[in-house]
Amino acid sequence: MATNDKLIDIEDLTKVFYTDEVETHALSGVHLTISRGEYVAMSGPSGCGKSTLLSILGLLDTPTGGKYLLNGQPVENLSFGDRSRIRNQEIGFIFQSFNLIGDLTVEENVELPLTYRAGMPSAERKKRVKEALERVNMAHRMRHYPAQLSGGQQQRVAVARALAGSPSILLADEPTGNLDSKNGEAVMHLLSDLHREGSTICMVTHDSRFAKHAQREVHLFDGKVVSEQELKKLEEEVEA
Amino acid sequence: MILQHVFQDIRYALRQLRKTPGFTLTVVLMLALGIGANTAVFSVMNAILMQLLPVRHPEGLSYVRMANGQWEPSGAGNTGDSNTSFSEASFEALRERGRGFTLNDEKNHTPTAVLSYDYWARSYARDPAVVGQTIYVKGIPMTVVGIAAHGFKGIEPATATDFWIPLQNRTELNAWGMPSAVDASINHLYSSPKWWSLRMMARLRPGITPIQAQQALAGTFGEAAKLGIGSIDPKQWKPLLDFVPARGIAGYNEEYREPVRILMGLVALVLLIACTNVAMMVQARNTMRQREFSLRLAIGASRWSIFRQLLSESLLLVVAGAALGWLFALSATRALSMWSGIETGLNPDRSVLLFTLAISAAAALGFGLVPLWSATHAPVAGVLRSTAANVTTNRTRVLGGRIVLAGQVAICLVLLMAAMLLLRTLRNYGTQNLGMQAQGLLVFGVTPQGQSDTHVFYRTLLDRLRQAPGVESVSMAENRPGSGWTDNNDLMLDGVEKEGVSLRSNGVGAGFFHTMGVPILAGRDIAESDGPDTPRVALVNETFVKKFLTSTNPLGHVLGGDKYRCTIVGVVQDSKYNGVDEKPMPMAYYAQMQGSALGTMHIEVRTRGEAMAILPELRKIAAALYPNVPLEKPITQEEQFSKSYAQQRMFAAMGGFFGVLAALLVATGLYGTHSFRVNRRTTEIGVRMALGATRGQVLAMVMRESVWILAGGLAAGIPLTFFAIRPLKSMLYQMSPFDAASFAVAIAAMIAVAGCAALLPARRAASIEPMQALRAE
Repeated sequence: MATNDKLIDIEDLTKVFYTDEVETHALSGVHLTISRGEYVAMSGPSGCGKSTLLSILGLLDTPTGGKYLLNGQPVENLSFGDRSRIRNQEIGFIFQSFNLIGDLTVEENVELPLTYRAGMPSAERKKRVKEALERVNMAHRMRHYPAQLSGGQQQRVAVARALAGSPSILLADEPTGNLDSKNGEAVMHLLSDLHREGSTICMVTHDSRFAKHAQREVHLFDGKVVSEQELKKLEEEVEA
Repeated sequence: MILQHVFQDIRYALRQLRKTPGFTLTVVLMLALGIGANTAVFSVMNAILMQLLPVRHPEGLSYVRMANGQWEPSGAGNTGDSNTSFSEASFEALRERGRGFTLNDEKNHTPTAVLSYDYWARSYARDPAVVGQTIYVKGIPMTVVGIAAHGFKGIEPATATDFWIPLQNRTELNAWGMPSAVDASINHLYSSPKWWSLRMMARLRPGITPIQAQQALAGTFGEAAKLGIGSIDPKQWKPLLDFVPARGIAGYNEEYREPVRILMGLVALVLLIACTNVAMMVQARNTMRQREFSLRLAIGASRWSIFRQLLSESLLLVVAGAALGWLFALSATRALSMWSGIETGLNPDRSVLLFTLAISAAAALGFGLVPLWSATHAPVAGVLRSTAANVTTNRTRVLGGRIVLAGQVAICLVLLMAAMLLLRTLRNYGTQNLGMQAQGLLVFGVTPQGQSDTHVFYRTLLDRLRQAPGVESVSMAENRPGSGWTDNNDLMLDGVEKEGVSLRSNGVGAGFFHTMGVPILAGRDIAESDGPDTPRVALVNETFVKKFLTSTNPLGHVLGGDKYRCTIVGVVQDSKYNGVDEKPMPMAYYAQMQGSALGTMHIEVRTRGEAMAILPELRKIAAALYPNVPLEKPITQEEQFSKSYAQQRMFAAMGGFFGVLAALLVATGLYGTHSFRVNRRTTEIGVRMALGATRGQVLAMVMRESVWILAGGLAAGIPLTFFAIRPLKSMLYQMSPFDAASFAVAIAAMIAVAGCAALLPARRAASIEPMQALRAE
């Protein structure tokens, strides 16, 4: 399903955190391209910069240096409002902890990103919510609150929320991290199904079993993209 | 063992409170303001309504006054000028030193004096040797025989007395400086059966009720009344004495009972707001400490030990709040004492201290216990959970918090409305048209002590004062405008006595209306030529003309009869006489110099600059002429009128202060709650932003919550205000309790308070970086 149409194109991306007198290079010269319809897994050990990269890809954070083109448009100098609008329309987030809002029903949670979209009529929102929930097989739990659902069901609702706005890309940060293996497997199948239906997905995981569901696996180590062979070598060096 | 636990709890509580200085300081301040304001108002209530005299068995003492007092003989109800009336002071005042008065002192009019403790301290630096020394009262030597006990300030309404002397029969000490030549029957207060102006007190024997005392004295008082005022029409007046328990400030008791109770109600609402605020803050703090409680429970602590620990923290907060509140109350009562002109007994006493302890205990129970339940029921497993999978809030608790805040808004609206009405009342007093140009007028009293010809005395004095630099004109009046003193007589017009019509009057000097700046509408002012040997003249005010001489030229008509016949020679515009809040009444002004002799007069000086600045020069001039004649109670005429509503001013200021205080407390409560909610919702807000919410949408989300609270509060508060504000009517002047403008301002103020309180947390929420949502994971 992958095409050559570049959705995400980053070049020489760096991210440095400054805390007191300590300078931490979270990302150092990362090059990455994700094409429309592609399913990419980013893996690597803890602290390698996976989540930082995902945050930058999702416009939740800004890089210290480098170039980032989303849909061919540079995003470095966007205002906060523009970034909000792009997040709302182009990006769907799936968090490790689901991050559903406990005071809202399943339906309201899924509708939430659509309510931030100016001018969308209520009927249109309801239609999209219903479709998204049907897609993850949770339409029958519309009126429930998150606390009344299992972990796997909550993550499916979170996926529906990410899908409802018809984003260009789904960014999933350890989507199985809070689930047991059975539910984790079910969520991975769901993502695979979505990919087959045309969604672009970028998933962060440290579990190689889940990374195999993706078309392509990008390995990160100490803030750099490395090949699988390089990663193995580096890991062996660290162990030694 | 128990004591060890208690000390341990207190030590830990102190450490916990020190760790959160912002929380501790805010809670202590809120409690201090709530408790302090209540203590201050209770001090006023205690002084005005409840306080007993500091004497032995004060509960047995009663003020004695005439019953059915719709009609009273001349002089009745007056207590005389505090300069010249003498309390019969064998009333068992506790003594610091020396002795009090004996029956012998009273019978023989001995030249003795008892000093008040304050006067002794102020003027003699507590020198014990003053007992036995001589002091001079209007030039008459008196031997100091004792010092009254500390705290005893006399029984004059709201006025502290400096010293007491037994009743005197010397003409130099006649009431109001009245010369003996005027009327032999009022030569001195003690011997005249006609002059009823002494305050009587009685101590009833144990077991005797006031009604029994009244019946027992009915015959004696009836005889005395006949002696004094001749025949009595029993249909008009039945001579009976009332025995009123000597509690509070005599005379103020009835007048201010209602306002003081209303203020007590208002300030109780302030405390309620403060306590609910503190309860919510403690609740929020306990919520943040759930993990700590879970941990304690997990390692074996009992729920009782956590309860005890939290109770220790609450009690420490209350103790600190109450102590600071007591200090606030001390300062506040001093300020109130100055505002109100009440010199006696506003300082908090033992009753006030007990009250403070009681409300502090109530506050501790109110805010201390309510949040404890949830804290002591923290789930033990909570300690094992590092993060929650979802962003959740306790809906019941949030709803409960919103209801409490809406309730606060409703109560605050009542207080703001009360404050608005009282402040506008105060404004009405201040901007009242006095009918004269009070600005630039200086007034002081003068008593022609030892002067054989009082006409010459006043003429000479006024002539000299007129020549002083900075003086435009000088005149005088028998009753000082704005002092509350008036003359009231039956009206006889053109030889016909008007049945049941009382006419107020004042004796004034030449050029009085010119000096006072009161426009003369017809005829002329009192002139220098209106002396004892010329036909008597009078001026009347426009209300008099409207009421009695509508269809005729008022000039030339005659007031009074026999030797007191006065021809009306002028009509003046209505002006205030008794006080600022009086309604226009028919009024006559007589030429005082046409009387046979003059007593104390009040000199009105129209100055060119600052009125009080000229006083030292005038003192010098008066002293050069009459060294033993002091200028009594010098004050600007404006200030004199402003004193006429000093108590109302105090109530209005307190009401206004409570409104502001309530608004401040509600703002703090709203701000604290919104801040707490924003902190708790940081992750949620981050998630919302990650999903595309703009900063404006987040700001609106927080503000929307404030709008709902405000709407709920106003929905409850508007009908509540209509209901609660009604009793305030008695405290208002030229205002309706349902004044639309005040209502609008109170609501606008409430909206502003709620808006401001929510804006800062809302802005903080809007500035949250969405990355926090992921970081929180």
